[in-house]
Parts: sequence; structure tokens; C-alpha cells
Amino acid sequence: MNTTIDRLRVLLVKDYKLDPATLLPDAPLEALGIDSLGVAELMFNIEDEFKVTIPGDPVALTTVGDVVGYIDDLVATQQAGAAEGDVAGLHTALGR
Amino acid sequence: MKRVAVTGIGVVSPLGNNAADVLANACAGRSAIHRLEAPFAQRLAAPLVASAQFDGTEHFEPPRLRMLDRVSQFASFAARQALAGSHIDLTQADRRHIGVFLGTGMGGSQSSDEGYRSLYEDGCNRVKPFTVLMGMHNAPAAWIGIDHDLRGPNFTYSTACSSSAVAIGEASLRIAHGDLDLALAGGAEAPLAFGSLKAWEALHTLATIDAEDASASCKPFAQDRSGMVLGEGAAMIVLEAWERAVARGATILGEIAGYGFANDTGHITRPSIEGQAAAIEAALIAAAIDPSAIDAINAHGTGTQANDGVETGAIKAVFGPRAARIPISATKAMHGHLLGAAGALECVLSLLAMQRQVALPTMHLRLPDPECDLDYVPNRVRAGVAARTMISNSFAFGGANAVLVLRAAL
Repeated sequence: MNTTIDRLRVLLVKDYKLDPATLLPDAPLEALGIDSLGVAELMFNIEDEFKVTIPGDPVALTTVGDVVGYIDDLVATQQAGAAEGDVAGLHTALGR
Repeated sequence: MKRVAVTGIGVVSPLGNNAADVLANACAGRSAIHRLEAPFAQRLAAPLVASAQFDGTEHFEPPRLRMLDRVSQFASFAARQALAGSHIDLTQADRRHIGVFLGTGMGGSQSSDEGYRSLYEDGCNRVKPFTVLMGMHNAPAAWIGIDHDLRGPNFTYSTACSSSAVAIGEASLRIAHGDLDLALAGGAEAPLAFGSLKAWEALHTLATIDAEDASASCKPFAQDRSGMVLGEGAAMIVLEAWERAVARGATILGEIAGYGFANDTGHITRPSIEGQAAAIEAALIAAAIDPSAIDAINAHGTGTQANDGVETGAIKAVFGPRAARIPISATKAMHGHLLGAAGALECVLSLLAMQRQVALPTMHLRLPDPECDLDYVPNRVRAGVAARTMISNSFAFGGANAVLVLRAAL
């Protein structure tokens, strides 16, 4: 199974035509040509790729590694929440 | 007042993406109007367009391209071409004294259209983050400023179909008054999205398809004219004071000798002879010339019933009996109506035609209209027309009538 950084790399290579070799965890986004507007668009695409919802709160992301960590946190939080929701829904359906 | 020289031309259009191709195709009477091949075409009453053969991926890096609506791609490319052609050394220029004046009627309408579609048709609850930046009317001018670090006035004019004539006219005033060293002026339009096409269709101004030849569907000044065909593209020109252009050894391609504007207040769409004539007269006064100095006319000539009869009347009102002896070209029959970019493209075509000493043809004029009884240079380019001074008419919904007086470079 691909890691988060692998999937993020695929996204950045496809949309920004970046060299995958430059997409290391400590690579600054600005240096890759991804400014604050680019980050806004990246978040939009991350929602599609990782099936998460980006919260409205601003968050400081300056490196590729920051983005990976942010995605992992969102996935962990939201998929755990979704799983709890599934269980709750199942309980409701069963009349418990 | 300083004379205003044109020292660079850039163009993206249905007739080609450089001045030489555009002139060659216009002289050959080639129509770029064609049936639209798109999934939504079957939902249009008359799926006709004049599209530009332009692929943004060939001209912009991916991160930039992702932020550019097609209208901004056209404008940026045309501006780049115009600046290159002018051989201006921007490293030696005071960039605070270089302005951008751009006209567009519909701005980034394709991006807006796409955003609406995703919301209303696809049921998405979000739109792309760049939707506002791509859709806003001033994006094309802003990107030109960013591309070349031009720090002077950066203005967008939106007066429907006269937008870019107004932009060129207003820029020429800044140069004439000595306010600016240099101006990039013109217009851009990319209206060939489904929503825009349907909106124009609803106005009943679009041409029906010619059964024998779809490319001949737009027939300005002909009795069987049925309307206009939407086109896309951009035209940008470099303007500078004549003496400055001469001093730096620039090749002068022509002169913006006057600009007139007259607002028609009678109706939001219906043109009037008085309003159009007033704009022509204002332009002649601005150029300080008599009507007898005009050797040729680029007509607004949309191919609609309403415009062409009224425009004929306006030309007669200003030029009197001599109107019948002035060659009048309506090039929209070939490149379609570029709306906010039309005035700029036709300004460029007029300058090129004077340089080549031709009058461009009004194509598809087979059936003369008794109401339109002037010399429209029907169906074939006319060689040996040594026009020194022309007017280019741009008339618009909202009543915004603008006319440029253009002079050949000598």
C-alpha cells in the first residue's frame, strides 16, 4: 500500500510537473513553486485524493513533510470519526 | 499633445496567432467560422463558433496555467508577442510609467461557467479555489502586469463589444498627454463556454447555420444576414509617443490618431444612427481631421439586422454623399465577433491592411440589402487601396459607441 508521501508525490507530479526526486519531506513548498494560493488548491485536491474534509481553520504548512503530517492527522481523525459514526448508525438501525 | 505610435502587435485569433497569418487569411477571405464540436453542441440552436487554435500548455508552465482562464492565456500570449515585436528593452524602462489597458466583455467566463456547473449540475458543494481569480474581469490585465513587472496603471474596461476599442483609446490619451512612456493596450475574450453561448442564443442575435456552407453563416450587410457568430482571441498593441519611438529606432506600425466615444442612451441593445454618428464625429474631432480625410472604414458590421442598417445610416450621416466611395470592411464574417476583443483585433487588421495597401473583404455578401447600399468590398480583397487614414467602429450593448482613427505609418 502506498504511503501518504507517495500519494502526495503522485499528485504534485501530475498537477505541478515536479520532479519526484525533489519531493523530500523537508523540501519547502515555496521552493517548489507552491505558494499560499497553491497550497489552497493543493488542499482542494487532497480532499479528493484522501477522502477527507479540510477544516476551515488556517494551518501553517511550509514543507512537504508538514503536508504529509497534516493529511495523516486528518485521515486518522476523520476516518476514526467515520468509523464511530458507522457503528452508531448500525446501532440505530438495529434499534439499540 | 503627442502623436501616438503603434510599435508592437500581438494577436491570438480564429484567423491565426500572429499578425502575418491573420493578414494572409483575411486577405484570402478565409472564414474561421465552423460548427462547434462539443458534447453540448446539440443543445444549441445553431452551434457555430470561430475558435482560436491555441493550446495553453504550449505557452505556460503548469503552475501558472492552472491559474489562467483561457481569456488570460490569450491576453498574456498576445501581450508577450506585442512586447517582443516592439523590441523594447524593459530593463532600461521606468516600469512605473508603463500601463496596461485591456478590454473584455465577459472576463473569465469559462471558469465561472465551470464553477456554476460543478455546483448546480454535479451537485458539488465546493468550487475550485482559483475560481474567483480566474473569473474576475481584471485577471488578464493583472497577469500581463505580473508577467512583465509593469507597475503603472493597470485598467480593465468592460463596455461589452467596444471594450477593447475603449481600452486602446483611453491608453492612447495617456500616451498623448505624456502621462506614460509606454502602454500595452487591447482586449481579450474567451466566450465559447456553454453558458455564454446559451445566454447569447437567448438574445436572438446569433446567426443561423448556412445550409450550404456553415463557414459562410455570418453575412454582414447582406440582405439574408441572420446574426453574428461568437469568436475568441486577443489582440494587444504597444503604444508609445511618436518621437520616443523614433528616438529609439523602433519600427512604427501605425498611429492611433484619434478616439471618440458617445453613449447611446435610448435603449440597452437597440443601436441608433445618432449615437454611432456621434462617436465617429467625436473621433474625427479628436484627430483634428475633416471627414474627407477618411480613406477607408472598418465597420462594426456584426451581421445582425439591427446593427448593419443603422451603421450604414451613421456612416452616411457623417460622410454624406462621399460615403458611397469609401471602402468599408466587415471582417467579422471571417473571424466572428470577439466581443470585448473585437475592437482590438479589428484595429490590428486595419493597421495591417493599410500597411499592405488593401481593403479587406466583407465575405458572404451575395445578396445586397437595399438598406445597406455602400461599398462594403464584397467577397474579395481589394488591392491597390492606398488608405492613409481609417476609422474602426466598435458599437456595443449598453450604448457604448467607440471609434478609433488609425493612420498608416509613413
